[in-house]
Amino acid sequence: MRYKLTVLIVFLISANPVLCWYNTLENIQSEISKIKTMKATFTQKKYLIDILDKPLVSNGNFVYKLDDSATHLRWEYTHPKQIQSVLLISGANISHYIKTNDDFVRSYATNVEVMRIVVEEIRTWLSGRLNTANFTASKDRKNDSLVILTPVNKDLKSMISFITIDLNTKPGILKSITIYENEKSYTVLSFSDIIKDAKIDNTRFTTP
Amino acid sequence: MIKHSVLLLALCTILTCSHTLPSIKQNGVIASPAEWSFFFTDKKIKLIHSIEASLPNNEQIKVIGISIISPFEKEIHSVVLTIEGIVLLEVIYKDNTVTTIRAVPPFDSEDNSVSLISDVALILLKPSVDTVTRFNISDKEILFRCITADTIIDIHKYLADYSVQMNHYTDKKLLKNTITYTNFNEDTIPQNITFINHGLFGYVLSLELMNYSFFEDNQK
Repeated sequence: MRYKLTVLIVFLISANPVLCWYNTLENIQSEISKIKTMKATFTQKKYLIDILDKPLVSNGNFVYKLDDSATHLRWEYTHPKQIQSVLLISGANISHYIKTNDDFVRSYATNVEVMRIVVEEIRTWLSGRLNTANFTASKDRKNDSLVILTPVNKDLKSMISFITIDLNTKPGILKSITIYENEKSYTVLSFSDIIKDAKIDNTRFTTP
Repeated sequence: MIKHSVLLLALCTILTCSHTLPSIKQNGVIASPAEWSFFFTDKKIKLIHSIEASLPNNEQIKVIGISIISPFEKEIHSVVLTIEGIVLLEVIYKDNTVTTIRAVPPFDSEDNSVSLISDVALILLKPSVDTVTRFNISDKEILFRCITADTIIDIHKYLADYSVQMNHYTDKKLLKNTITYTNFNEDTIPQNITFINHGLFGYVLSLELMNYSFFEDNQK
């Protein structure tokens, strides 16, 4: 009898959308902001429908930390070797390095306008704000785990049509991000091997 | 006055430092296209490169370049994207005309997009020349010289490692660009290409092959 009751409670909890962490935008933002550190690997697939018959695939890892002073992010591409690079964000400091002949060399990729916007967005999302100066967030009507970010101004819209964030069932965790430039050009970032609340040294965000 | 003197001095320095077309003290023979153009594909191909640009202000940036080369049409469809996958430029180059399909800053300026695709065309398209003369410089080097209306191209073929260096000169015989092709694979596709622009605001593009595929429906 006790077993049946437990099963019933578990069923009711899982079936109840009110208790699901991504039932409202406010809940989503609140849960994301609770994550203080995270490590994960990612797979990036770039689709160019008219040009590529299969997507360009690259892999890497990221490390994230939110402390009292600031948000920190290390976003590193490890494969293929030709594009090995690392983006470092530590508070207001943003730097990008590319690997050349086994050495990391400072790059100016973040000077490219669209990259500046993307970096700024990532930083804001990680702190738990999905509605930003550049994008308006809304929940997808059909897929409950999907958040849609729409650019607010025309100039940005000419670069990025919209972004979708697919949420993991685990609170505060993202399953994937898809950046649509248009229907024929989009990038899917999928996350795996996610570790929450690990101890992460701040040098990871300042040293390539 | 001082400004003019500085400018003149800079100009003299540039001119004296510029490499000029070397004279050749031997008679050459007419070369067959297969001899001098083996490193340009004659099949329709898709090439994916990482492109590292070293700019005049010492800035470095790395992007991904996808190029579909149609040799018979002398056409290149090129897409430049960031490592993060954002398309910065998509252009089609044909008959020295550039059609921009998509461009975001800094490539939304016509000068930047035309300049980049023109460099890509110089690197990947076989030059249109009528006659090429071969000179056997040594047992390690063969030189092919092509002369067109507005440019002179010297192609140095180094036999020790089968690398190739292509120098473009102006009609005034001043060196404009140097392109080096190294590490050819079994399909004679170079794994590494370096493009050096010797202009006043010169820059270097280093291309590393990531992937390539030939088109099956290769039509002339």
